[in-house]
Amino acid sequence: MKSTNHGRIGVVVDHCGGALSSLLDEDMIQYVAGLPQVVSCHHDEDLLSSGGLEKFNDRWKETRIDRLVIVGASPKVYEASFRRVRETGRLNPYMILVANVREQVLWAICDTEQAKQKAKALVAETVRRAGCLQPIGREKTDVSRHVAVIGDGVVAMKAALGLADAKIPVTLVTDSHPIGEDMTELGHFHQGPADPRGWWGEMVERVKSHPELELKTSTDLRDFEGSFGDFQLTIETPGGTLETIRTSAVILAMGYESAPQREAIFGSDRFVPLSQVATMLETDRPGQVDRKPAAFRTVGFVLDLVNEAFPIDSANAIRHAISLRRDHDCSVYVLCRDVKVSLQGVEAQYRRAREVGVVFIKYDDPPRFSFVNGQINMDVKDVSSRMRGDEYTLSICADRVVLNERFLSSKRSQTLAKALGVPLDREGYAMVDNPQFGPVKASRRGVFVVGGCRYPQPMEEALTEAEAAVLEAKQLVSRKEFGYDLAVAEVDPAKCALCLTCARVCPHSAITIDRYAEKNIYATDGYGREMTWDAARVLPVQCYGRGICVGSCPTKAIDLKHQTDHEISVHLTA
Amino acid sequence: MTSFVPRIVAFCCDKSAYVAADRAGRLGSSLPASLEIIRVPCAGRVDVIHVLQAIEQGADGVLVFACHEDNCHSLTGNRVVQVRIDRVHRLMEEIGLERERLELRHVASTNGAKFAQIVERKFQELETLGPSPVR
Repeated sequence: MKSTNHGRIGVVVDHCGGALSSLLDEDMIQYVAGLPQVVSCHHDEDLLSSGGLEKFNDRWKETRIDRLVIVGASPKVYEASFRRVRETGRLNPYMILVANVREQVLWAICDTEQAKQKAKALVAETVRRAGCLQPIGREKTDVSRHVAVIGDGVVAMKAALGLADAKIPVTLVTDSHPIGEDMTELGHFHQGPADPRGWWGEMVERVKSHPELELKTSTDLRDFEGSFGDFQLTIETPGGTLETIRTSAVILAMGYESAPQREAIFGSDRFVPLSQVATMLETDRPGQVDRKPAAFRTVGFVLDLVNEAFPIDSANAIRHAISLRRDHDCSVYVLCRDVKVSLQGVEAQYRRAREVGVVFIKYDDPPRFSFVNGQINMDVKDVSSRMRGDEYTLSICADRVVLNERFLSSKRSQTLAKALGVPLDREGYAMVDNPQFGPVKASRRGVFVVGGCRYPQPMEEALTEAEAAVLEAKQLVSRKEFGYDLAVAEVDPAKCALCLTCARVCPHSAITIDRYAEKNIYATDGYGREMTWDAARVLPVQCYGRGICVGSCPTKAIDLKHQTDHEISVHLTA
Repeated sequence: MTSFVPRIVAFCCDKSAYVAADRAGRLGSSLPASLEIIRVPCAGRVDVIHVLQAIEQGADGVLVFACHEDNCHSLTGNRVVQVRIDRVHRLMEEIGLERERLELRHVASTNGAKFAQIVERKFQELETLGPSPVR
């Protein structure tokens, strides 16, 4: 075992504005100052508010300390200020440990005497651990000014144009051809542009002619490697040739799909998919004398058999219901589990629908369909009736029943997401790293995910996500260099058995396999001289320093720079 | 009643349990002085050898804390550590160590009270169980 008896340790005792004074009496200070390897011990009234560690620089220079222990509050409280420490040049921020005597001792232990003993033990252990710290450097990587966008719908086009307009060269890759031919997405708006087709056409034109935008249609993604700032995207062009695009970041902007509910349809054309109601209404305008309104006198919308979580169907159904009632004088029923009004303007629309006489019925048990005299009969138990103590089933005979289509994640999106290292959820939608704090960032640094491939969303929301991704990507590629600490995992290539566990288990796709090991401990004697071996290699730019790979390696060929196995060992050994 | 004070080693993941441990005191709960907290970047960092070392060094009980299922900040960390804990449980059974001396628990960063409660329950359980035979 490596000796931990080295290092000149400085201690800073942070009184936290007086909060720790009861703990930090004469006895404690003497104890701390007398610990092995401690060469200096300074006090501070309140480290955080008094401007940090810089003021000790001169004193440290005198005592020549090379590592520091702070006795004070939780390390989480100090960590933001550690970065400034590197800038002053005196101390490496990874040569600092914190003894958490405020949150985890003073505040957590009732008995004062026990708290004091515990504080002593904690400081002693932290000082001991400080002995095995190693400085960790900082590196920079060049960032090429280029972003790739993968997708063919309006969200992909918006993202690509957003970057191109910011004078960032962008390549838009899609497997379809020509771009913008399939306009199904226009139906995904809740409140779309006044002239959707015109708006769409304009966007397609801009994409085709923008000087900063390179368009690659009928192009498939074959491989994806590298790190942020230096990704290699391998594509197959229509001719069949493979090409590599070097790019700094990738935005995945694919949509979702929908499929009609086959189960309820019974092959009857009296069941109308929700997406076709608009067409149905368009072709049957009021005032056209030839049209027989009797074609459909009663219309039922049945929602929430699928897509229960999404408000867009509710919004569309209410809109169409009002139209049918007001303009076509139909009887309209809307059957649903909940009336979802969370999109803009839908609450007011719901009120209007009720005012014009649309009947809303809430159900728990799905309605049952049958055919009666050529009409569709819907049997539904009205939930509101149950609450009043009665429970009866309504039977509604409708000429047309509208069913919303089931939203599905698209197989193409899934394939692309997998190729990019973006994990999928249970329904096959692409997952971002943290929906709250980074809604468009994937867990792989430099990769972004926007649009319907994340979850079925109204087009306006998807377009906002595209703007967000553009902002994020702009921020990343606008600097020429990206700085990162080497607080990452590192492989000793000689020990790597190439089991690939680390590469598979890493959630950030930060581990690759390269031919770079000059020796391999599993080689039999005499074999493998003058040979370079394949071994796992961590891409430091992509590594988040979590250590899952380190915990998984069966040969302990990989270690975590900022918390080595040795350090944990030292911590556990009294 | 002897004055046996169970020593508990808790591996706390940086994103959930360590923050919860910080919060425990602030929220009016208390932690036993014999609790040793080892901060790790992710529960997935904790390997079989670390748990065994803790037991070898005389811990009466070992708790490994992770984010809730499906909520791991690193996606897979809490799942991979579960596999390793199961492995150590099998080893413990083989050598005659009570399986209650090692447990994987899930906490959220906000739940300081739950963290304290888990530690307290384990403490009481270990008081009944007695000192680790390894000691």
